[in-house]
Amino acid sequence: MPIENNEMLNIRALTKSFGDNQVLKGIDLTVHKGEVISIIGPSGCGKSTFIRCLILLERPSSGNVFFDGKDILSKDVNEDEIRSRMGMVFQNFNLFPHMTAKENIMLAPVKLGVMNKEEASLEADRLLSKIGLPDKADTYPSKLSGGQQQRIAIARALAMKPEVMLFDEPTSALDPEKVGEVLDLIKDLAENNMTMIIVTHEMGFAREVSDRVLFFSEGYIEEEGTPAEIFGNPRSSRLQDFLSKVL
Amino acid sequence: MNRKILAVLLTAIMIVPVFVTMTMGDGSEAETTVVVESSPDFAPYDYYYGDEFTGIDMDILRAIGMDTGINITFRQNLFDSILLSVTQHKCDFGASGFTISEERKQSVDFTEPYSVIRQVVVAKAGLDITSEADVKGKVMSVQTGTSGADYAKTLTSPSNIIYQKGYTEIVLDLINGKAFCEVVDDAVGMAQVSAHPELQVYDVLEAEPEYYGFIFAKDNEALYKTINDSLIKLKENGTVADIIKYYADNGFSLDTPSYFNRVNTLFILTCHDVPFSYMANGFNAGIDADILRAISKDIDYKIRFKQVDFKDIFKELETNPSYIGAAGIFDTPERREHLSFSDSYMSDKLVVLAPKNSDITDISVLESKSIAVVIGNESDTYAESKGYAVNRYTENSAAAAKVSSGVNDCAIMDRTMAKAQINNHPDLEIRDILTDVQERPYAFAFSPDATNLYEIVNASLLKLKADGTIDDILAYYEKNGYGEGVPSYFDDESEKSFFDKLWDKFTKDFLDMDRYQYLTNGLANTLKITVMALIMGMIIGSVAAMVVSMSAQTGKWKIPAAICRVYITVIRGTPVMVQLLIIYYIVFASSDMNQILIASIAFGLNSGAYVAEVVRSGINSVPKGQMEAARSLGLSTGASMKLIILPQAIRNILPALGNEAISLIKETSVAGYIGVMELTRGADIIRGQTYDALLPLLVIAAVYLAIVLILQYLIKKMEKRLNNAY
Repeated sequence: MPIENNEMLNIRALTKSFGDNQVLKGIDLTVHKGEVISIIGPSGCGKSTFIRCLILLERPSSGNVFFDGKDILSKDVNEDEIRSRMGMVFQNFNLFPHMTAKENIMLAPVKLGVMNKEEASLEADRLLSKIGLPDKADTYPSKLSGGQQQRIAIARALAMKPEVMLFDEPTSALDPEKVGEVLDLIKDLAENNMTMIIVTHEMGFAREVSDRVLFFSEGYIEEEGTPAEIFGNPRSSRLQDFLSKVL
Repeated sequence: MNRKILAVLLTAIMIVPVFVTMTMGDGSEAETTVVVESSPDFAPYDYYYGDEFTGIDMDILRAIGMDTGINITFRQNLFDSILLSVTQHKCDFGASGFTISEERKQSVDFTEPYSVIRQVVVAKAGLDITSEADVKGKVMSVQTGTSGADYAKTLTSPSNIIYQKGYTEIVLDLINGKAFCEVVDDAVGMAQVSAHPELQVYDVLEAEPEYYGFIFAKDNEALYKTINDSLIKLKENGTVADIIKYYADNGFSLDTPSYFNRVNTLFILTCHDVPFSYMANGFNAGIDADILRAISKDIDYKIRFKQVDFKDIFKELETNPSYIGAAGIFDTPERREHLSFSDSYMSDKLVVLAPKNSDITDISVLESKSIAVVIGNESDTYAESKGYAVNRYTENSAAAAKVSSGVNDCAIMDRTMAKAQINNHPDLEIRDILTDVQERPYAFAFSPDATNLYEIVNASLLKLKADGTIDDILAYYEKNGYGEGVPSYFDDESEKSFFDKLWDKFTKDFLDMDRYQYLTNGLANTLKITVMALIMGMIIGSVAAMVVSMSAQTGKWKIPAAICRVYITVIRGTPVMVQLLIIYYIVFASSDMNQILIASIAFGLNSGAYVAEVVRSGINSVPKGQMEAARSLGLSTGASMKLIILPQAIRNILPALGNEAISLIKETSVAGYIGVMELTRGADIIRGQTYDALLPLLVIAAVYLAIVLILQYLIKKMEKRLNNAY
């Protein structure tokens, strides 16, 4: 069993089909603690499906995912427990509309018994300060801008003290002027050594924040390397083609 | 909520009815208390007098109860439902005027007959119906399942028969002209007519006589034998006959209390005889009727009039000392040989009515005068015997007018009549010059055996003479000219405004005998059923929706989800009344569980299916990302559902859930089919007693509307609160 001391995720030959449509055709990837990985690629290449498979919102069709040395696809695994150790940020924020910002953040820690109410409340206050929205604690999501909502969604994921954070195009649904505040927050997390996998279309951001960049194409990792390699010296014609369109 | 708890909850909901059925058992304590079912709109056999279940059936059973020591309790149900109720052991036996027939004997055992009946026709009064041929082919309204319904089939085509579930509706069909006539058991027809003078019984049918018996389930032999033996005994010792005679004496009127709770009543034998006794506005009017009515009020008796031929009054008095004869009867020495007479309440004598300036001052001058008399009257006979020259008129008023205008010199008529004519003709006056005629006293006739009754009535008569009441009554008739149309002194109907009449109806429907209690008790039951069913429906519906939705999302729980889908499909695909009957008669067949509880379960199961669909659509209305976000935080499917999805779903579906509650309240109105006294059934029972369709229906419609409006208001408020929240 491939165990290294600082290995967080070890993904082997992961595939995912929806009916006849094979979206992921065999992904191998090792993610180390504290590593920030960006995934880029054209629409429909399987980027989102990939990270959804990691947190088990989709069930992979075959392959292995070792999380902290344990295969999360084996039958005896408690999926809820695995998910509680990962954080996920969605394109559309998915805040709970019937709860205030603070209630959104406190919900999981309290309901899953990770913290008592007092602890969760202090933690929520701390996170709200950290994301720069201490005055929005009692505000409902519908009264917040997209950028603010996404920052709270990040705080909500962080409240569970996840070992890895997954971002599924976190800025795609935002107005251009709100993108920066969210990216700044993610950068901040990167500087604090949070392990992260980020599916993104923000090439500049990917270049700046990532330790490694993966280029997905048609269900494969077409090319992989440091930001300098990927953006400075793309080898495959597909990546070159893709970059010429988005840059 | 974890999966196991959910599974347990689901199983529990499916199993509870079965479990309850098993534990309720057959109830072996039914040794001393038995439940008999009856339809209370079947007067005179079964009806409510106030809140007391009474009638011939009920009183015979009361007598049997006293004889056997069995505690018999009565429960109302629809006539149609009782047979099923008996065979399914929902009650111990049935008593609702069941005609003994070979067909019915296939499914139930009959007791000895306790009553003989014949089929008669009831139709509007005064029609020319003299034989069976007169009703052939007409539109008939009958009660489903009765022998009247069977006989109607031999008289008219099937498309001309209106099948009603109760007699209230049939009477309305007759009054409103929707049916020409009804075919019905004779006593029942008489009871209807007693409440509706505009109807009449026509005894023209050639149907074979029939017999009523109580009905028992085939395997209920011990109880059957006990009741039947007692019934035979009571028939032999005359108790059954006494009870039936008691109701017959009361004219089979709905206004008759139980034989065992009877009140003092003056039974009057009378015949049409203006101005002493006649019908006006469906009310017994006339001098005799009103004086006796005043006496009945004075001594706090009820009063019943029975119409017979004049000559039969004396015959009946000889055999039945409980009656009083009253129809302008003269107290004569010949009659006193067989009867006793009260003090006279008025007397009369032939007099001459002549112009004030007339020279007729002595009997001797009459021979030369032209005299007005009334055809066939006492005056005619007298003038004839004296050989006077007369003109004959049909009315006293015509005779007086002719005298006044000078056509005749004078008129001969009774003093009372003459006094009345002077009101219209002040130029005339009475000359009491007929020396050869007698003063004739009017009095009430009694059987010589009725000494007690005689004393009570005569004492009251003397008292009312002394205090002027009788003078008032006499003055009233004199003032009104003794005409046939003059309403009773006690009948203030004709002077009443529309609103007064409406108020009278209101009083009769809701205040008399505390009839409003049928509605308040009914309302309480309606609300009980609705609330219990609503709670049950919400729980079952939410659970079923969650099971179906989560199964669709996760691919698990296939069998529970399939069960839920079958449940939803079956319930939504069948009428609630059918479900109610199936649950009552089949699922809970051997249970003597409270009907209100069974109805609540039936409506709860029904509502659950609709709620499930509503909740499912609510769950689907919540964006998929909500579930994913909750799951990504580590919350289980159940917890995500409960904390994230349902709260949002409920906000979306609150209006639809409100609608479900509103239709549920209204649907409970069919609970009457399993004998529950809910609001609609309460109104039915009032209608069965007062035969007034309008007010009870309008009132319950208003009550339902009020409940629905209150509910709508509460839902609006809740919606507002939820909407303001975020």
